[in-house]
Amino acid sequence: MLSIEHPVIQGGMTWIANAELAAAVSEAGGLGVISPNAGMRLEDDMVQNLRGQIRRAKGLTDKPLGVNLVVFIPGIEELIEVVIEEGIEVVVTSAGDPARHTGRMKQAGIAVLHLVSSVKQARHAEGVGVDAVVAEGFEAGGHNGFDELPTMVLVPHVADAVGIPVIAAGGIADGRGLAAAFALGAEGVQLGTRFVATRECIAPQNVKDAIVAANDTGTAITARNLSPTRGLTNGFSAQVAEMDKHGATADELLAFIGVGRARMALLEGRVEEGEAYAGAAAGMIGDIVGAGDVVNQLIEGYDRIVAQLKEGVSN
Amino acid sequence: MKKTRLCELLGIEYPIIQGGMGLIAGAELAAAVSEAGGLGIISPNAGEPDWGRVADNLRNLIRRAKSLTKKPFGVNFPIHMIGDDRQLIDIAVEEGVRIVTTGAGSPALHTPYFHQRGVKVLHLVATVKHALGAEKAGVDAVIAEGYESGGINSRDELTTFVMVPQVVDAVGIPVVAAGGICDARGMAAAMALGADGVQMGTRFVATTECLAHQGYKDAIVAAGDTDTVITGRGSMLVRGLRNALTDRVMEKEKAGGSDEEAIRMFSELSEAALLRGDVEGGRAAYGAGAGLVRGIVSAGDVVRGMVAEYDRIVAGL
Repeated sequence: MLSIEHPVIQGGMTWIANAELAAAVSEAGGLGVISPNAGMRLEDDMVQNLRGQIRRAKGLTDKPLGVNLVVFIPGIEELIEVVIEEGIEVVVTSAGDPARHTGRMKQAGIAVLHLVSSVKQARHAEGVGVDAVVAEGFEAGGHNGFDELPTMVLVPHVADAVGIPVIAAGGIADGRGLAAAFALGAEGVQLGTRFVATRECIAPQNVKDAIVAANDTGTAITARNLSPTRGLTNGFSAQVAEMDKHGATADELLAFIGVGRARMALLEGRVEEGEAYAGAAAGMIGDIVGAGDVVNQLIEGYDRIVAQLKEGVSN
Repeated sequence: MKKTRLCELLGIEYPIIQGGMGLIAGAELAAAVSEAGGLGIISPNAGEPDWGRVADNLRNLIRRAKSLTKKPFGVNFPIHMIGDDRQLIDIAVEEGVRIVTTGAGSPALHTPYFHQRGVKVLHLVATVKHALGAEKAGVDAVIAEGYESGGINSRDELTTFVMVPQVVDAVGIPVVAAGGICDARGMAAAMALGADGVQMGTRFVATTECLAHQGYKDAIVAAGDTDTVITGRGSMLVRGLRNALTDRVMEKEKAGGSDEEAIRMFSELSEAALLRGDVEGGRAAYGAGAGLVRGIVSAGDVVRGMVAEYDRIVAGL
């Protein structure tokens, strides 16, 4: 459906899903996805930034590329026009009603994948005509669904509920996760954190090092009552947790978090003070490699594990 | 499905363990699971809410299960409930039980005692650190139980999907995956993640043999994907049905109410849901995979259905 060789999608991580990363993933046979705000300053024009990123990526690969669009942000219409003008093949939408823009993009020949975190959202997305859903579990880094459904239960629930392809996301870092996702009924996977710890990602070295250093308990959910968000446990997350514990209101939390807090961690490398989005798979990531190597290792790992599983069944 | 090293360890045919759910993992359920080739587990207080009478209850349960199957079955001992008192352990050993699951306490406390009596110990863990500690204490296998599971949960909130591979990488002993597994897809996923077997609780509650109240079983079958909720963060995490009771508890939690208050609201209400079927006012613990449970069948059919479906899923990968 996406005209890609391997069913591996690189998540369009805010601030750090840049052209070089996306191009490397697509070149390796997966689908690289650009974030419109990749690498930019808070005051920069996101429309121009996106156009620049797409052109750079297209200069690096002839294979299909994707863009991640957060539906609720102001100016989404302009971003969509850029995506269409620049000939992007796939858009992954999230955080908003897919009914609003799916039609326009599909009319332009773009395949639309929508991020969901419950059966209800998945059914709605299918109803408005998206081509596939990305079922993102509680393990994923960044903003999470309020229902907190983990990948293990979300994927089979969604696979049973919709007829369109289901892509599993959240907690996947290697061939084992890929094989498990397929066993649960997924037809593809999306990985974010694993692709941050690559040479091509523009996140600073200390962000990548922090992911590599994280162990199984190295991430946590904060701001549950506001918008559950998973990131590395750090000074910032400890402060938010403390505020939550004392019943802080949404306004108090918003005032503390401020603007550009994720950028502070992910692009400026202030991993203690910033909101360092990372998924629960961080504990399984032990090295910084090329993004193409990640794709190849996922496929090799999958083949090896499936061969082992097949040996373990009768006849 | 061929035998794994967990099957060799426990002397069972299929690496499928029925969780020893408090109050409701009785003799008939455990025997039916073991008869079908899995491992049934008895809870000492199954059908008996009065912990003061648990000793006689356990002896009766074991004898009843033994009259129903010649195959191995186990007993679950939550360490925080028994402490260092070995009365229940001695009863299980006297009655010929040779497999136990333990959790919610230090595995160093009773594992040597069990081993001296020829009893295999599977210990419940929720992090890599727990797993390494359990292996060091000499347990025979660990059960890596994720955040998806029903009932009391770890504060670390590691999900099955990410915990299992990390525990598998850390220890040399067999790893059983638990939490969120309700069908053969979950089992195949767990095995892909490196597990040697699975433990399921909620799926086995919705069986004809389980002594849980019909209303509680029906609530599991009726559940959708978003019908379980975690309460007691900061005190004692519990996953269960979202109902009038959890709504009240969560209101208190949001307002920054005391942890003790939440625990008190829950105490003694498990019995109401599990044994009397009050699924609105009681504490109806079950796992996040409840939405995948579509009917009440016999426990033997659960095991046989999983095995057949597992082979089909793996063949399709």
